[in-house]
Amino acid sequence: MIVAENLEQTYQSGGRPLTVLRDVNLTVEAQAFLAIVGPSGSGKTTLLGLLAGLDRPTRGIVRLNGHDLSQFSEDERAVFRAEHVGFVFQTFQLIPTLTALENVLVPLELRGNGHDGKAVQRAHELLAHVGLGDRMHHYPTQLSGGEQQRVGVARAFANQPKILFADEPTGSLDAETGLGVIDLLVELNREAKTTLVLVTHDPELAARAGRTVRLAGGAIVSDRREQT
Amino acid sequence: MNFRFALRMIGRELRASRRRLALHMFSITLGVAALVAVNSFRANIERSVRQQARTVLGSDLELTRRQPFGDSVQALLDSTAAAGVPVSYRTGFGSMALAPRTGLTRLVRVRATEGTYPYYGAVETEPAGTWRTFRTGPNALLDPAVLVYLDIAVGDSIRLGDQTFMVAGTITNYPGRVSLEAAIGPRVYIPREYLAATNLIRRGSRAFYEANLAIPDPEELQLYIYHNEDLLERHDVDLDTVEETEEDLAYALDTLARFLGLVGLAALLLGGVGVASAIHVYVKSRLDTVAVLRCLGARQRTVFAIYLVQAAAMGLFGAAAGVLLGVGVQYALPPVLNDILPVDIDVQLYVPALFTGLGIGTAVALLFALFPLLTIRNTPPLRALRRAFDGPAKPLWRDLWSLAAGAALVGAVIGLSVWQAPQPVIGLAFAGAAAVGALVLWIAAVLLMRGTRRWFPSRARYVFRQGGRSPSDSGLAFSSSPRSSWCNAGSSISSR
Repeated sequence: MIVAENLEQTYQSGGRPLTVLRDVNLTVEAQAFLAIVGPSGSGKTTLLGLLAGLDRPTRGIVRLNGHDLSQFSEDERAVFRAEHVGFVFQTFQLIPTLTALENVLVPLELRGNGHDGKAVQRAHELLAHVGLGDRMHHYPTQLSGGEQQRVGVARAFANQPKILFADEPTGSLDAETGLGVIDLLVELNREAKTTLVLVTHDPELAARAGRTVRLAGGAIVSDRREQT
Repeated sequence: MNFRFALRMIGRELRASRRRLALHMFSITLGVAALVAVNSFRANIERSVRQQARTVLGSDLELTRRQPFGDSVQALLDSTAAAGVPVSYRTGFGSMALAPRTGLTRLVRVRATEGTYPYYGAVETEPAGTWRTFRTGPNALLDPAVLVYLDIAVGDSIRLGDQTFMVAGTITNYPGRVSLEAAIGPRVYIPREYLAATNLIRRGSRAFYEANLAIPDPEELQLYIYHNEDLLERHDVDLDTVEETEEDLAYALDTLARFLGLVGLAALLLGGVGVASAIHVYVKSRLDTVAVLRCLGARQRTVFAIYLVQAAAMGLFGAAAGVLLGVGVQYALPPVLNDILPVDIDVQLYVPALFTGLGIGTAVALLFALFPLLTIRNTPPLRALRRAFDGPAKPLWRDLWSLAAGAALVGAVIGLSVWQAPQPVIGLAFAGAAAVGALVLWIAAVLLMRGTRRWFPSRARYVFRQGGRSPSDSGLAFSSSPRSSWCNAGSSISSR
């Protein structure tokens, strides 16, 4: 479960304070699928970064699975992310010097689980699941955009995270490839019973979410839940 | 820290970047090579001087005067010779030599010799053995250069003053410090009994008079000096013993080697700037990876260690290459320098110099790499989501790690300079000069960057505008960060 209370984020821009998020209150239930939408500059990615513990809010608190992230140091938040959180990025963010298999192994190794046969087997299974069983030893530059994002999805699920954050996961893909990645995310989310929070401009992707929060000017302007 | 993960990542990153990093790390190779070569050479020279001190002097005691010895000193030398001590005489002065056949002349150093000096070491001539026989008549032995200058050959004659000498051969190797003289002016050896016939030595002539004695027993030598020192001093006769010669020579060569060492150190420091520049560029290309690793849960120190160890490994690699090169230079030096050094250098591997070079090279690479590597510590995980996000900039002087890295770097430069210099004051002056040099280059780089930004002609052709305004591609970065400017000053230096 994710709880955000009175979140505010202000940056210094050109010597002046610039508030990009103001008074955001949000609760996301476990295993939910939340889409955060809104125009450019509305604070979507800032909110995602705060919810994932990548940054500290200027004001307010974030609780992930009952843990108050503001109580953690930078490194403690990193360890917490390694254990509880997965990420899918718009620009894939695969490590270019690592093969697809090694990229998927990174989260497992960071948790200290990557040094036995089981980790490699899990990475193999995940890559096979996303349809890249025969591309495991390819470097990111040897893969297409869609393939890279599928490696990114496999990496995100490697640690069986309780919460998955995705920042415009289809933003760098064409419509058809993006659709495939969405299907994959939804499928894995359902299988792994993960809470999925994603930022998107893609209405098709947002429509697949059980709940859609719309931001404008740094504040939540609508919170719509799909009737199931 | 997750050591196993860090080790795996180091291996993976090096697998992809080792060629590029190694290429940059070679910038310290030349400096390390110079240090290893100079320090090994110094050790070999010290040992060779110790072993060959007698050969350097050619005798056990040398008496020198700017005028003929005079009756009382000559009487002492005659009685010494009568007591069975070998005594040889040498008179030296500069004069013009004329080759009658070609009509050419040349200023030479005339050495009129008598006796069996040098007692230690052998004079080599061409034809062989001429040193022992040339004094049987009006013959001369020349440095080979004199033959070239006068366009004559062995068997021709030369004229010194009023006396003509037949060229009996050439000196190919003369042991001891006199070999240095050949580098300054070519020599002509003649028998001392024909010196008067030249009519070149008159009242007021600038000449030196030497007597060389062979008293191998140190106690006898000390006794001889003790008994005769007053007389010799009264007549302005200088005394030189093997020990004094060894000390003087060792000091002179050590000073020379230390100055050469400073030159090597300058090369190493410049290489360090090259390393800083290379690591700066490398780190910039890795910031996304750093952010992703932090995002996925890597601790700050784990990520920092991944890149620090890479820099250290590459520094070690560059330094090891420098050590190998230095050893090669060490073996190549004696053939080049043997003609001007007073001792034959017996080259032996001086292991401490190798390890010192390896250690210093690695440390310098690491210390210079530290500044740009600190950027990694401050790379926020949020950068994985927002590429432009670099976190709040912290002034250099408020970042404890930057201050510590700066202090370590300054301390290392001062320490190395003092260690390598002949005197601590010179070392401190060298370090100060290096700091001033770096400051001047930094100011020049900043001014160049600002000047380019402000005054670059807006109507210039597209290619030039892009070249001038794409700082990182052209080796100049328009950055307001002091650390970036420092590193980019380095890149502009290293690119020269």
